[in-house]
Amino acid sequence: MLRFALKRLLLAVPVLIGVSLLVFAWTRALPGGPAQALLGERATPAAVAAVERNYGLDRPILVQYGKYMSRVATGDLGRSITSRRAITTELKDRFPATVELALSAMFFAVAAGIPLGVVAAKHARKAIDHISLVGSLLGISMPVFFLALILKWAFAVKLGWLPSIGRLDVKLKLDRHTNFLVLDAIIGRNGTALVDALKHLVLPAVALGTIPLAIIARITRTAVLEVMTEDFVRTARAKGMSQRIVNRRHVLPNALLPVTTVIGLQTGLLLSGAILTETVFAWGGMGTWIFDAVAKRDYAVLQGGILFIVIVFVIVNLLVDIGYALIDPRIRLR
Amino acid sequence: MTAPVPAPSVESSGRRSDVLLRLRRNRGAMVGAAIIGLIVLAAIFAPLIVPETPSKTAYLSRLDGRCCPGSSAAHWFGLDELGRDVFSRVVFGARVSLLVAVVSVAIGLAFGVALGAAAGYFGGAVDSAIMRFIDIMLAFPSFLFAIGLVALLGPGLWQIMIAIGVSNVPIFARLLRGSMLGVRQTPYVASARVLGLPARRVLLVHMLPNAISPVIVAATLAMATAIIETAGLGFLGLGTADPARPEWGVMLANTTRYLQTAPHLAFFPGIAIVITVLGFNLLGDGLREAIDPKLS
Repeated sequence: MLRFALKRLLLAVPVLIGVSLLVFAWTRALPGGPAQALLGERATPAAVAAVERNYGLDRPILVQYGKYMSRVATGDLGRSITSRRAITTELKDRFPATVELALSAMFFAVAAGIPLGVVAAKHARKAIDHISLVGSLLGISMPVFFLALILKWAFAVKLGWLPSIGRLDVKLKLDRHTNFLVLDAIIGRNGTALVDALKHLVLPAVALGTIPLAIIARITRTAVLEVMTEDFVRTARAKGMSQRIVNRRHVLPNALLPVTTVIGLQTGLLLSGAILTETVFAWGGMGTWIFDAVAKRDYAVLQGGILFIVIVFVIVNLLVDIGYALIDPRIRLR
Repeated sequence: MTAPVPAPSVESSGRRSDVLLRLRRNRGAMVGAAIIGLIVLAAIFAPLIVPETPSKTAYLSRLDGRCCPGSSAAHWFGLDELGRDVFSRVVFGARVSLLVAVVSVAIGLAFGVALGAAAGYFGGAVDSAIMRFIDIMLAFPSFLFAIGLVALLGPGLWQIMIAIGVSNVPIFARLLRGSMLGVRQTPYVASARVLGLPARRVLLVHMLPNAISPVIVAATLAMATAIIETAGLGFLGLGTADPARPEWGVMLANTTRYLQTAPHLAFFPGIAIVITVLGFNLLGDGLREAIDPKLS
């Protein structure tokens, strides 16, 4: 198992180097540049040259890349040109916000998707199954920002039940230890902040979690139906076990194998794909941060932020592979 | 002289008619095809269907200082913040979405199939080099990749099509390569090689037609994703800025300010996206089940 994990880890190294090279080349190829974005109307050739000299942007591109990578190796991702803050400090603020949103979305998707898939499989080709299939298809076909707008309009604007933007009421005070606001509220035993943070999470999490929910429900349905026809299930039934015990001990654990893979892959996608949801709900996470950096040509944020997202994406995929190999030993032998 | 190796083409033409038959019997796929057909017709005949051009503004005469009137007999989907007819804009918006879906998937297919076929056919060092490149591309979530490319190329319809198309390349390439590896082991390919057929013929006549099915399914589903991604880029302000060429995502982005007073502005373009994407998803699912009947 260790060999398998090491092999996968080694395979990820050239991918990450390639990604860093691609991201670096991309930022340098973007039209305009940080000096122009920073100086705006004051961007005279002399001022641009001064800013470029100051940030080392006048050096040959390979020298810049080499210097950047040697800094990255020591954990220094640079400093944002617009906010002047270190990228690692910004990441400490932004990354927990996106992870909190992505994990809540995935919690919602799993909590609703698996039971929905099991119920659909148990009533295969009946009305409930058809309704669930149509619902899943609609879920997959719904753009996340459209669903976000509908939810915002219905539950925040019309009914006024839930807040429409942000992570916490601005009037509330909360000591931030981890920047996971729900966790911080629990650590600080701040009940009001906990309820408020949870209320802020509901709409973005539901909007972001709907597509994974639909996918998980469909995969669970197919997997349960497939396992139900296996010999070991028939044998268990023949031995006189009740359907409930057969389902709990034999069908579900085996059907959840493909589901765990999908959950892992979708979590990786959610981490990086929250840009649109974060935009609708003004959620101060990674998505809005990187999107703003594109407009401002903030090289350091783009390089550091995207590299970080891709590293997380690759690590999550790696963990999914390893987790799957742990559950199903046949994978290791391939 | 090269001897013909007819077996796979006869077999595959029989298989193709089976697939078509199963597809025609699949209710979901037929509903999807009907939806797409209707939207294609609406896009083609848009100037004949809509009551006025989508860029016609009438801020002063129609809005009377209020944003924005809802449905009426003259304006079925109401008016937007500039007094433009929303129905006309939604119908014309189908043109952009369908165009991006078709062209971007075609771009993705052209490069993806070429890379996947080369990797699957040649194997060895060629395969390794191509697959490492594909791995790097796949390390980027596709929407982030598309945003990056649009930022690089600048806003515009062609730029969006290229960005979404390129982000599809690794998906098609990987899928085709996997399928080609399976086909490479089949006896008819071995016979074709033993008979000394030129590599191009083995690849194009014997391997590719038998390995392409999963890519066709993926391409149909990729059209659905392309429509969502186009709208997503538009929503983020990276879409087409041409007022004469309305795009559903841009329309949605413009409505966020009026969500409280005029939610219908978001509703109609949003529903148009959902219905079109649903059509492609239904057809793609049906196609997948028709190609691999075990799935149904």
